[in-house]
Amino acid sequence: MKQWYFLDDEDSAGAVNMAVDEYLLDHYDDRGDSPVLRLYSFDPPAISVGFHQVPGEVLDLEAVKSAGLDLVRRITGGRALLHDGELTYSVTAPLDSVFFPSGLQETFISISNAIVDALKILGIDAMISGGKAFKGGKDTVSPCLVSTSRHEITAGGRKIVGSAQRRRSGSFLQHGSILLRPGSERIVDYLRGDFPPLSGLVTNIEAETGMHLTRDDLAGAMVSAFQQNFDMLVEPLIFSSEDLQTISGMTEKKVLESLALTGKGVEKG
Amino acid sequence: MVPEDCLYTEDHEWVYIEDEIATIGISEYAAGELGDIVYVELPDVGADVQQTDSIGTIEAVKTVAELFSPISGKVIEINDSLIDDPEIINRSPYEDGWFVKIEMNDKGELDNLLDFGKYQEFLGENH
Repeated sequence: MKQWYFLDDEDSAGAVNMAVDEYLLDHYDDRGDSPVLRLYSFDPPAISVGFHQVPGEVLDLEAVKSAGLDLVRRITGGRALLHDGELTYSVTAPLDSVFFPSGLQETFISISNAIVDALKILGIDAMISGGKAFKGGKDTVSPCLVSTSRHEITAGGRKIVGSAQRRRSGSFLQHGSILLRPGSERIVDYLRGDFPPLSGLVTNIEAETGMHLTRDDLAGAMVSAFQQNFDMLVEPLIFSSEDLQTISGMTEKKVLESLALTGKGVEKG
Repeated sequence: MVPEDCLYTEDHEWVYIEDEIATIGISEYAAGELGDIVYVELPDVGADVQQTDSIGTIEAVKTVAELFSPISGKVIEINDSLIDDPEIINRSPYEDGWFVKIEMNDKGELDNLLDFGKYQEFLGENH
């Protein structure tokens, strides 16, 4: 059995959450071959936009500001997502990790399989969607949750997890939002343009189980399912003071970027 | 130009050499793995780049992948048509879907790249 690191992170602002994920990707080789599974939530709730999205084109920034939401940019692809009533996971690993096939789609499937098993532990009949590629084209405004792309996770035909990936030369990061209770579907309230309610397209753990399961219930199921699927030993990830200092510097930059995204500061150059 | 005439990197980029000019794109395998490409970010014409420098990004529906320069030199041309229609890369990865042309500084760097046969072996072993 080989080791993974596990970071059961506290709820944090969007800038902190994005800085930690990026730090884990930047410093993947500090941990040898060991991947990191990180679980976290957003406090306050936040909207994240995809790496190449222009917030002013896709979001009603006044509505975002009025609601007191954080606005952050992900380093991954995809479209706008409201992080509210959800648990976010991230997996960071070297591309040549023994735990993952090196192909992008196969990696996506192997992580999705573990998340499906976590949802099954909670009693949800989840599955990986059947290879339907989403034809996004020039439509970059519609919400992330409206699209069910290849290998995404659904329950009863409705999306329950939205994931995205960043690949670099030697490493990848995949993160995604697991919907715990209603909240994320309100993204349509903050988008430019009129979108129908997402309730028919999106579901969540509370709706599927009829129970108010906590983020800790979901976190426990995630760790069990990942241990089963990847035959791994789990070691808690503890950041050194040097790590924390670097993360703090990255967070400061993300805060400034966040202010610029909402029009409160200088637009990103 | 056919795939057999190109050199490759392990990041699934192809390089086609004509005199001192290297044309760069991503392989059919990479385009298929990414799926529908929705956005491409390219370097500025005139930029000096080193081998393995990040020179842009490619975004598919859910994935952002970086584009690395397979060789050192100066960017002399970028494929502007990808900005408006990035799915050209999916339709024609080896022809219309090229990304950049770089005037090479050091042809010796080509020794670090894989020929078509070696790239096929790499795909077979790793994918």
